Amino acid sequence: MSHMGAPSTSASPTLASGSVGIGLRSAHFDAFFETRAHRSEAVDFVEVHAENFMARGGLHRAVLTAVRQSTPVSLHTVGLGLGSAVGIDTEHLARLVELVRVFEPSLVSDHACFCRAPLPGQHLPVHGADLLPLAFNEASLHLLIRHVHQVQEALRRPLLVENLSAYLHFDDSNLSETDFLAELCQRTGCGLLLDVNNLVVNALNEGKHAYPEAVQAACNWLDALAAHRHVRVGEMHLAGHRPPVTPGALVVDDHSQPVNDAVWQVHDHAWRHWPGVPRLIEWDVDIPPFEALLAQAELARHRGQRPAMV
Amino acid sequence: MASDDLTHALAREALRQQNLMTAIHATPQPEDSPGLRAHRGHQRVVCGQLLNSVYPRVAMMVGEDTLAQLAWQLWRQHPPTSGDLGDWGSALPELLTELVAHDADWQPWACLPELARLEWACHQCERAAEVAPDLSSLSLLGEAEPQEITIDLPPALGIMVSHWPWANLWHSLTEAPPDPERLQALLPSLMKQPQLQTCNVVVSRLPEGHASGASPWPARLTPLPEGMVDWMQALTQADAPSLQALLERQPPGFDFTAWLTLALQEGWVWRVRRLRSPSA
Repeated sequence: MSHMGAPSTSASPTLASGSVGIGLRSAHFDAFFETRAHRSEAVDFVEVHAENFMARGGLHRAVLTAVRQSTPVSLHTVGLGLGSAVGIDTEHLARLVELVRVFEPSLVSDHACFCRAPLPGQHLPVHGADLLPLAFNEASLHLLIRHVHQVQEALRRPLLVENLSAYLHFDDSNLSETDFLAELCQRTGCGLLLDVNNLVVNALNEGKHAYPEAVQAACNWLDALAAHRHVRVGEMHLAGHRPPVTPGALVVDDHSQPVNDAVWQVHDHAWRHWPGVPRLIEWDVDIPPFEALLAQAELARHRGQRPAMV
Repeated sequence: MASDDLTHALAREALRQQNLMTAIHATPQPEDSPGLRAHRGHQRVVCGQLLNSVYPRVAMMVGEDTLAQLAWQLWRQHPPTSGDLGDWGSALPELLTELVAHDADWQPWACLPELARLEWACHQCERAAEVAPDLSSLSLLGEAEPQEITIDLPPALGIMVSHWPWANLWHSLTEAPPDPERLQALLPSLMKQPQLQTCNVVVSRLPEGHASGASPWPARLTPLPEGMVDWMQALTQADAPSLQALLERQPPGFDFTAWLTLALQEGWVWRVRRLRSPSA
């Protein structure tokens, strides 16, 4: 596998083919350790939002230290703002470098988005605390390439970049999203974190108001991406969203539900293109008992073991 | 893309990003797109959750809806500049001070800024770096001259000096969150104008793995005797002076041994350290 332009990988543990993980949130800290004690096979890895662990000390930091002693960790950042025209916050990057050094994560990822921008009346660029969309054109590709290089150089390892669920679209986009992401991979050596829920949400919001149409559009997206043979998909995210109240209403990628049937269908299609890729269950709003999350992880494991249906 | 074209395209992209950020922070307009409303709605939820998490007692006092309004006001006046959102929210005590000073509805809540200041100090304490107490370094107290050494307190330690008698309020809200009716009954006594009573505390946490086995979280509040306030404040300065200089500043009767005994009991001492000589 070539990582053109990407520095070499660290000695972090490699996730086995078919690994299934969960997004670990503070509501589940206790339940995670209880489960880990009795059913160590329940999850192969956990993913945490890196920003929640950037404080120099404290409970979260202690928990992650304990988690890491038994379980591989993926660091998913939501705040670098890789496409921000004002650039990367070097203090934020330094904190990420320190986390990577200490916790030796198996994966490190962020999003194809911007987070930081100037705001009138503010001395410093403002952080939006949100994943804000980019136009798919040369300018934003240039920004992403520059900043992915910067992050990879600092981390001394390749990054995974996640496709976004976007609620705004721009007239000056002149590349398809798949061509845009493939070009990013080609020119930086980064991999992709493929969020299949985001594909379904985007399709619903882009006019495919019925789920069968949205699934077809998402599968077409995957086929277009797979045509770029150099693209390395390093992880897949699975989550649920609240279905639209009325046809055509905006669907928000709120991670508030079990993985929707439509998302599972798109997962199955993606699995045929990239079998064995580590998969992660995300649940961030209306967080259920830990067992419900484990059941979703088990379902992912089961679907990954089924014979491929072409 | 030619260099000039790319420069122009990058400038357009920068402007587009600035415009979107500005629109999210702006007052809602009827013509706002569903996507813009979704982003603004997300930020409103995030800032409300953040303040609720950092200021749970203020939240109990003012109620969920008011806190959400304060959060959005604070978010727009003092937006986050760091991706670590645990850094955001320090300006709430300042905002509450302004409201109490200028808004008649808020004047009965004059104690709130102090309550918020204490909650922020606890938040800082709970996020600070962990350091292991270096008790062996205490031998320097006997071996070195006082002008050669200083005492470092743990990074998690903070001092809160207040003329508001808020301790009862704090404990009421911590140990048994009162129902709204009981809170209303408590307020007149808790919110009265300060009578120059002091309520000084050390905000600290136990080291991880402390011998007592107690959880190091959440932050602990320990009353600080009046005679030790100046001393402790001097020690929390970023560039603490020598032990001799510190002792010379203390009023007659300051009992260093009594302080050290208390500080060791409470885990307030990180280490004794040799100062670098001026030529070092």
